[in-house]
Amino acid sequence: MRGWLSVVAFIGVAAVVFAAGGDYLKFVAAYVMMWSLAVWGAQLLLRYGLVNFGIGGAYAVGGYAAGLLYRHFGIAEVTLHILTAVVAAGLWGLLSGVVSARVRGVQYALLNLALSMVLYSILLKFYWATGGSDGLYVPLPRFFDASLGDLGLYLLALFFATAWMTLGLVYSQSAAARLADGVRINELRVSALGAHINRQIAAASALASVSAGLGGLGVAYVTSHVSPHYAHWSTSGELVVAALLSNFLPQPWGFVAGAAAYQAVRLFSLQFVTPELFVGVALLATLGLWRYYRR
Amino acid sequence: MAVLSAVDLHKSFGGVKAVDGVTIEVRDGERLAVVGPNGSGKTTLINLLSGLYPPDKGRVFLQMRDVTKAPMHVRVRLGIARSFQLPQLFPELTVYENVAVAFAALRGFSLRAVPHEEVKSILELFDLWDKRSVKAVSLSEGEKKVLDVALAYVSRPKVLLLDEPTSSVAEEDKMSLMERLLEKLRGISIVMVEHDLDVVEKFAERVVVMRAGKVVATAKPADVKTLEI
Repeated sequence: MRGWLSVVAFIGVAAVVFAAGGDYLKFVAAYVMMWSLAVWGAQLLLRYGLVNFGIGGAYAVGGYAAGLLYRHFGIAEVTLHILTAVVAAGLWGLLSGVVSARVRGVQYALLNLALSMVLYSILLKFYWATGGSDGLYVPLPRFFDASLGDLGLYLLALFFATAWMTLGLVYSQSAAARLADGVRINELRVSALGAHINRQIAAASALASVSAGLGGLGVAYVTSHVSPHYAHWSTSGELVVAALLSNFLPQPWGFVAGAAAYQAVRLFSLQFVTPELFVGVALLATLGLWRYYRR
Repeated sequence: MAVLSAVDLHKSFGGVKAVDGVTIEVRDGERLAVVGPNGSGKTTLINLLSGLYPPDKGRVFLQMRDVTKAPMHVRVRLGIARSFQLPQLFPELTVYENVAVAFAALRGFSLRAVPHEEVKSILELFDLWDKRSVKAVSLSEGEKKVLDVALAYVSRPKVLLLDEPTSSVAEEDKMSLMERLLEKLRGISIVMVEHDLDVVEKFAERVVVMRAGKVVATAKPADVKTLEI
């Protein structure tokens, strides 16, 4: 019951931000709500004990789904963007999940990082299709010939965030979540209880990628732009850090709050340090906090 | 009729033959004990029967069906479950959550919850309901053994492989532990690796003796203490 009340309270806070906040605050709120979907994906894999430093690959696939559809076919229809992002990111997640499900720990993290960096290179080099390092323009989406506008985009972000909170509530009580805990703690035992571990990890990877892909799509909408940086290792690092932070916070809104906390600190810190240095320091600090918390 | 049978099983690690041409048969509802000195290949045999290791040579049959190439999780679904010498639990989860994970393992990636009544029925059957909120790491050694077997029981196996069910249990508790366990597991074929010959004599119906990876004798429980083990 408390979980559902949290969802209602979150909708209330988001409504107040839209009604009373300035343009910049509304932009940041929409950005955070969209970005938090990708954080949710990274957090889902953490539940299996998998640190995915390639989750940015799925994030980029989602963003480029909109960018490529608009650039090459002039399609700005939000439903087609979402459908394409879900299918493409799901396939990316399934592929990377099947490839990496046989390894664990550092090997898993690095294998996924390598896959996302391959995608990064492709996005960078195939200028004629992807816009190269400039990336692609992503227009404000349309819904059956009507432009969503700022309010529509904000409502879309709010819809995604609340839908994912609801999904999180359902998931936290599910057999899949129990199984994820089992895999993280004692994989041998879970296998000896009848679970096909690699299949579970591939399924979780596909779901996490769909979530990250929709996050990438949403952020591309909010910023009107998608670039190869979405697939860069530092983007994945940011998502993992925010996911680790979210684990300290109560569900179902923890992933949005973790995303918001990370982006707030990031925006403040970028006045003084480079983005990569910030990611490195944030990762070290979060891992330290994580070890302390686990103890 | 044989529920589980192994024919000419071989398994080597490096140059060491851990299991060397073992052929055994487990009958329907039978309690078969596997005894032998340390390093005789008992646990490796359990690992081969459960599918944890693939054999180098030989075949494993479950009710006439060849399951040699089936991995462990498939064999569980076909009816071969196991416990471990060192109980394989989820230490930081509660007893209730441990059993819920066992049900979840059979359901796979499902967004439906594990039914409370099913978890409760297993906990009550194994007298663990009162301990449901205790973390597995805090249980006594005997309770950990019971929980380990309860997890294996969730799949309702035809054959249950018990690897040293009384190891690290206090001497005075061994008999009562086995009595409790076997009462719950009535009707299931059981293969138990066991060092304590008093336990074997009291609870087994047939005994297989292993030495240096081979089956060297098959005996009645009453004769087990007269054998050179």
